[in-house]
Amino acid sequence: MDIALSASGVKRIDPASTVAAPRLRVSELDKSFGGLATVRNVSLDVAKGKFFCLLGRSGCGKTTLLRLIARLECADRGRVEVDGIDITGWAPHARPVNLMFQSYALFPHMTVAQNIAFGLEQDRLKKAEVRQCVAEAMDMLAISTLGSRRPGAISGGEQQRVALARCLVKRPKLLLLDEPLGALDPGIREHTRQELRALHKRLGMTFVVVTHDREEALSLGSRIALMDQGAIVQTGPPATIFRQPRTRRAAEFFGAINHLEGQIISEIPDAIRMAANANAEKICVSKGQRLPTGSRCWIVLRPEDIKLCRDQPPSGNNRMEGRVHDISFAGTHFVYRIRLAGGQLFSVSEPIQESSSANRASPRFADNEQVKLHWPWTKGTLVSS
Amino acid sequence: MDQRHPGVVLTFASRPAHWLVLFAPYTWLIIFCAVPIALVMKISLAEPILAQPPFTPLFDDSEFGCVRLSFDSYARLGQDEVYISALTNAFRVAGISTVLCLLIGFPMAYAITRVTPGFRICLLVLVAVPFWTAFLIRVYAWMGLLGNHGLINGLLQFMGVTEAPIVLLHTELAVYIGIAYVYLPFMIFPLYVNLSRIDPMIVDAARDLGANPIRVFGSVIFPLSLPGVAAGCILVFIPAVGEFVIPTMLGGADSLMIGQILWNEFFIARNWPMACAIASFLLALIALPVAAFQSITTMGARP
Repeated sequence: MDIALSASGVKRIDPASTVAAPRLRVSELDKSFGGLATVRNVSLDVAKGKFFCLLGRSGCGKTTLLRLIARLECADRGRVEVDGIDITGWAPHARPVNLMFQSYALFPHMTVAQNIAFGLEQDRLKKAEVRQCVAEAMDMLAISTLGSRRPGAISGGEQQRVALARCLVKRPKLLLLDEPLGALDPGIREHTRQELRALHKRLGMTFVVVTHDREEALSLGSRIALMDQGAIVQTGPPATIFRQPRTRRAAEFFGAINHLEGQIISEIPDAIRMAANANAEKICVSKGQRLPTGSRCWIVLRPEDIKLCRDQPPSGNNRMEGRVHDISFAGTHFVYRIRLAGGQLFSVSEPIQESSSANRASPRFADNEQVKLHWPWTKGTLVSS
Repeated sequence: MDQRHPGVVLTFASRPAHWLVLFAPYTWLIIFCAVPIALVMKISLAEPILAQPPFTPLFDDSEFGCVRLSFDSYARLGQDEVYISALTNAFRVAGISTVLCLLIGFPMAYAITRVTPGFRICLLVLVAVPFWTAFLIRVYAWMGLLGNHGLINGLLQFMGVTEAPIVLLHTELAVYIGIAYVYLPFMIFPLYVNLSRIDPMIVDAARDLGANPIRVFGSVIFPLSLPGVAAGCILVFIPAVGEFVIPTMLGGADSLMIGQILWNEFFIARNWPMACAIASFLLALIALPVAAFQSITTMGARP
């Protein structure tokens, strides 16, 4: 759990809690549409000033979760708190929260400046004040020249900035961003990502970003919550969530698409020994969850962690045997799909060996060739489900 | 257009099929729109006589090339109190009825966009159902409802709200009710089409940015629905101005509408030139709101 360091004197509401209330606390939120559970028992805390990423495949309920926090949908059950104040029943216009829509949802009948001013006008600010805030926001996002244009007459990247400015100008306690980079061209996405980071740092605002792009989440988020089928699977800092997935699905999401089922036999110094169902030889693994002896477990592996060879693999490494099923070219590497003795398919990627003679790159192994797979104990992660 | 193949456009334009496609609608428009209007305008410039047809010919047979134009009918239109008051009556009644239609139709159209798709179709069909009954019969039905011994007065007296019947039939109120009732679907359908095209995310964005429901409506939904409002108002207002059946059956004798006057000129006074002058003048007057409508829709379409 993240702790909101009470530099700004965040008011403590809950006397039972020993720490200051987080900026956002969602507890046991449920939402279903027509009997289909979209958000299931979601609880999460977001500390003040964090860049929090909600990561998940499309349709996993992450956008619904954002809409529940903004109350554009009503939750079936659960609570939403901001700075310790329960805002579950508050109308969307009363919440100190703003949402940037994936489609931007700019008002087509208003100019860019009017779009940005809209939120401030609702707060009944003085005209001069509104104008100044709008000018500042447009300046910050480098869209000052677009003020009198209509959203339909500017580019997608510019629209994204306008949508961002429209939310930022309200200085919400919590800014929710639904796939903020999703609709951008790949070319400007990377650049905008850096800008978003810089903006977050500069403003010190609390961001909750929804994304399906794992690299985006890893590079942006100071904390990531992985969502799957409406529930939060795992929450943690990017490095932890990347290196220590707790489930096969979480591991798969971050590229560890190979898994090997088995049973834990014993604990040896620095590692755990397991008997894999598909392999005669025992497998050792040095990281992952601590599990009792005899329990069912899986080892998850990335394609790039596994090495292939024809001859004897280095001693001490985990070893398996298989036959090349197919080979595909992926630019910087070849991806081999290896059929293991038990029939299971493993993906193994191997960097292309630059041959000095020609531009031609050819795989080291041929179709149907018998190969040996091996990887050190330090690769691979043990998961319980 | 594809810049690499400028010839594509050229060949399309020079194809006979292209002209055939344009020929059909233009022919239709010329035969059924331009020619009748020209005939009406021609008759409006003649003088009424007791003959068959009851107007003087425009081209005199005795003197070749001599055109006899008479602007008497138009002059009478501007001088005679009857026509002026009938015109103002017509515009007032049509205007008020259009506003009534808008006030009733907007919430209905908006409500239809907010229900589930299946139910939406049901409601749209219900809006259209009255068209399955003849127009005249529906107006007759209102006579039954609004009469002194009609359903409404009966109900009011039964409930003890009033003791004596309220005069509803043959008043201007009855005309408003009749026009608003008959033309309501013409308001609802364009409004529905327009409102259903408004991205719900835009409405959500307004709510999220702090607009209460009234402000969401005032500053987002209503401005975005303006093209639909304009289309609906035009579709109601134009036929309502020239309405003849409803004011004749439900309205009083004291406030005649221009449509009734036109009918009288044609069939009672048999003054065809006068009737045609009224029709031409009305056509010109109605062209103005249409032009206004055009400018509003193009304004809305502009990004």
